Amino acid sequence: MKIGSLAFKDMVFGYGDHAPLFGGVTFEMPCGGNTLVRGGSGVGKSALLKILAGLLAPKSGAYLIDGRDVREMAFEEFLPYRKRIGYGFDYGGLLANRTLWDNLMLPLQYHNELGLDAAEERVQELMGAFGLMAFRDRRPAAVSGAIRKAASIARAFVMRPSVLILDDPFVGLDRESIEAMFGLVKSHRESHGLEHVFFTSRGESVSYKLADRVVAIERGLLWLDDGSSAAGPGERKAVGQ
Amino acid sequence: MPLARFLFREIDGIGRRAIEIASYTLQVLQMVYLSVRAAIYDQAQGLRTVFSVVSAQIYFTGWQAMPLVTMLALATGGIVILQSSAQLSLLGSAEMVGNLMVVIIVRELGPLVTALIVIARSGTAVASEIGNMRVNREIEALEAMGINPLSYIVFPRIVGGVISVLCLAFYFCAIALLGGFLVTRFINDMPFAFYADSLANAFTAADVGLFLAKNGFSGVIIFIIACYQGLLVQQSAHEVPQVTTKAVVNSIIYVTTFNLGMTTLFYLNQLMALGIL
Repeated sequence: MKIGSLAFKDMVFGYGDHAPLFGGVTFEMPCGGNTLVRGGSGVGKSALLKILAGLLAPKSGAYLIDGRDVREMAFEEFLPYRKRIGYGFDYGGLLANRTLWDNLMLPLQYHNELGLDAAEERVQELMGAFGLMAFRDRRPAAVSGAIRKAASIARAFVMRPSVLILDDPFVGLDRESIEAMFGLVKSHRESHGLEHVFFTSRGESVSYKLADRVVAIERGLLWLDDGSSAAGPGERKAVGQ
Repeated sequence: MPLARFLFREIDGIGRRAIEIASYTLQVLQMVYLSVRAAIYDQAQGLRTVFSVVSAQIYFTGWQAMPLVTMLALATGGIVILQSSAQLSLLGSAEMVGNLMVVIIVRELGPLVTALIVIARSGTAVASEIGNMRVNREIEALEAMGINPLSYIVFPRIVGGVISVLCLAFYFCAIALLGGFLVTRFINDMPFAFYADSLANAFTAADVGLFLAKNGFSGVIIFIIACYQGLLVQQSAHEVPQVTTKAVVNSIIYVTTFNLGMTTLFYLNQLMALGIL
């Protein structure tokens, strides 16, 4: 199953009683390629990624995947889409009572996606790419933050997603792991059906190396910038609303 | 006028509290429905996954609680036998000891004490475990992996909890009735055959129904409230002890109220059967 379009229509979102982070966004997320979501602290970068992954629901308006409103879908109706979306957390997100190996095996085993041997081979390949095999039998609390972060990103690749969403992937990762992540994005795009990548950044220059384009969050709206460069986004091309 | 104002304020307060309780109860019941629905609809979650969580829950809730239940059952059974046999002997109705034991242990204390033990040991553990999972974003991670937390976490805990509470309550009653008799043997001259005969005559089919209903629903109440409270945690670790305390308090209130309601219905039914009502 491929995911072709991701769009918002009059989307309003805010946490609890706080002021809305997004106030009526109508915007088609740029698909294909790698999209950096840029914005200051607290503007809603992580919230946007979670909405894209279906982890948060807009308060009003619609989030449309292939034209279908996610808010209208029950968990099981959204499941086929969810299985095609890989999500890497900025921190946390690993199951504390499972080893790193079991954390990566869980989605494959739960969804009976592969036979045991094939699943183990895939997990071994991903853990090997990030140099995690030495820690495979340790639980998240017994490893460093960098290892946890790498494991969380590796798990995002495990179901060979069509949409990859990474929240602050560069924070806490060493240079080798960042290179491994770039390599996995490239190889999954070439041969494993990865189509759309969305990620946030705290302004690390390396983020522009991965980005094909930039979506900025300003004043509760989304803006598309084209021609991103190492210095940052270029000319503003479209307005979010 | 000040009196009227005071009265209206009090009535307003009672009304608000009643609406809060009704709303809370509805939300908890909604979660029971959603958990069962999720477990049925979740095609991916095989019996193996459910069984592994259920068996772990039975181990922690049932098996590990047995030493504490044994001690409390022996003490409770012993106390009730000593007190009741002494009083009944004075009244010349020693053969009623079985009836008294069934009424006090099987119908009332067994379900209630077992529920309180499970709330103290496992209700707190489940609420804090799920609360910590929320803080560590494990619940979000499950959703991101396409695993419904209601079918993966909540449903097996309810099933495991109900089985554990039923087994523990049965164990409590057995130990209290038989073990309690044995530990008081050295100060109680009642023959065991007499005691066993009195017990056998006291049991009715209605007792079995009451026992299953009280303990089964107590298990559901304890674990659904623990899971619900745990899932209420938003982002901060300091919320975890707060929801755990709330889970304990609410579980005790709901379990004791439910037990009282069941007992009342049971006796009303008996009075109707006797033609008194």
